[in-house]
Amino acid sequence: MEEEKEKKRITNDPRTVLDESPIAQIFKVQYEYQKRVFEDYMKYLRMLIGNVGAYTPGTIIAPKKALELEAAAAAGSTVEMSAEVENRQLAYCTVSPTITPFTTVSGITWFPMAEFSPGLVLLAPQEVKQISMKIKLPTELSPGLYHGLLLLIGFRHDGIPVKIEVQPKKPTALLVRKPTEVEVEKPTSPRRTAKRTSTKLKTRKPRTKRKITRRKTTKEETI
Amino acid sequence: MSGSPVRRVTLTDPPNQKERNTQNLIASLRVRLTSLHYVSGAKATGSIIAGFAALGREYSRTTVGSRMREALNASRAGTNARIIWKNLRIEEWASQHPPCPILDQLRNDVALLLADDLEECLSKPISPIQPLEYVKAPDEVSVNPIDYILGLWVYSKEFCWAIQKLIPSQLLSKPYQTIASQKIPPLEGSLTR
Repeated sequence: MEEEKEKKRITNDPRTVLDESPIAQIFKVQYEYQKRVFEDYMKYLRMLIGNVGAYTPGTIIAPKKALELEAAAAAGSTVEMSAEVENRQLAYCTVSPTITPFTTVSGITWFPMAEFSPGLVLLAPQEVKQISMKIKLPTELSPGLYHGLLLLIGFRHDGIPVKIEVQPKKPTALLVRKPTEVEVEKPTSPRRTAKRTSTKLKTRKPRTKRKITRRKTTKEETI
Repeated sequence: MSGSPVRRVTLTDPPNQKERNTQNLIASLRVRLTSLHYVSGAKATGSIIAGFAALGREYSRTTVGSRMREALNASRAGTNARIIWKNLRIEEWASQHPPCPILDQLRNDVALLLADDLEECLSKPISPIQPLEYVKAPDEVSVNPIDYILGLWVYSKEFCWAIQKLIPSQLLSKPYQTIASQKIPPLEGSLTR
């Protein structure tokens, strides 16, 4: 009898109360049910919006193998590249060009600032417009072949490859200085110079203080 | 300065999808409006937030985007945004929703506003929405507040530009003048004396 009483004992331990009480069981079942309903609803929603998203007509760039932009310039100069954009769709199309950071094989990453003209393009059906891109190559940029991408935002495309070959900076006319005639010296042998210096040392007189002798006055002379 | 020869980029319709013409753009808008009846406001908002974040994530690949992202991350605004999103569990909530193709929708709406054959297409009887091929639901991606801010910026930039483009420049440059069509009669009564 005592053992049975112990079994029916109601404790105030929250864990036991939650696990065993009928209310807790109801809550647990309700929680499981709601969780399943929510999960199913989210699945349904994802599928629904996935379908709606698929029904939203979009634009892509027609794949072309040779589509690549190339340029070469010395550091400190400006590179200009252009591309024509053709809209083959039956509705107006908006083009928003931008570029990605450029990298070299050696691991240098360059974040160029490009200036697009026009910045955003509105193309009528079957219309062709030109987009030009100006990139300023910084003077500190080390020479090499830089790879990057021209991205057209929202077109479900990886981008158009862009290659820029940065050549070593050419010395400018202002910086080059011709040596003057004074500066031009004839090549002399080290032996000769040594001899010259030694003779100089020999002939050189040690500096002595000048003796300040007072000149005799006329009076003194007479005395 | 040296440049490459001009190359042509061709924009077309995605394969296995309906062509982007006025009729289909109207149908898409109709589907968008109809789907709102089947989802709650919270779900629709969550999907829009996820859409902005997806756009911001795409733009982060660019030079300007990556710089802005770094600057936002380092700023107080970025820190506070992360704190708010973490404490209010916005990130957890928004990440569950499939991203809405907001930029495509904006561009489609702009195209509809500029369409020449809009009235003609609207007068045609509504064609029932054809069953679509099975499309895999988008995967769950973590929605970051910085991506969301960046996405909003990209969207707003294009949105403002699009509105400016919609207005013909001749109308903007025209001197603004109002001419009263009728003469206003003088007020009568004791109060005006």
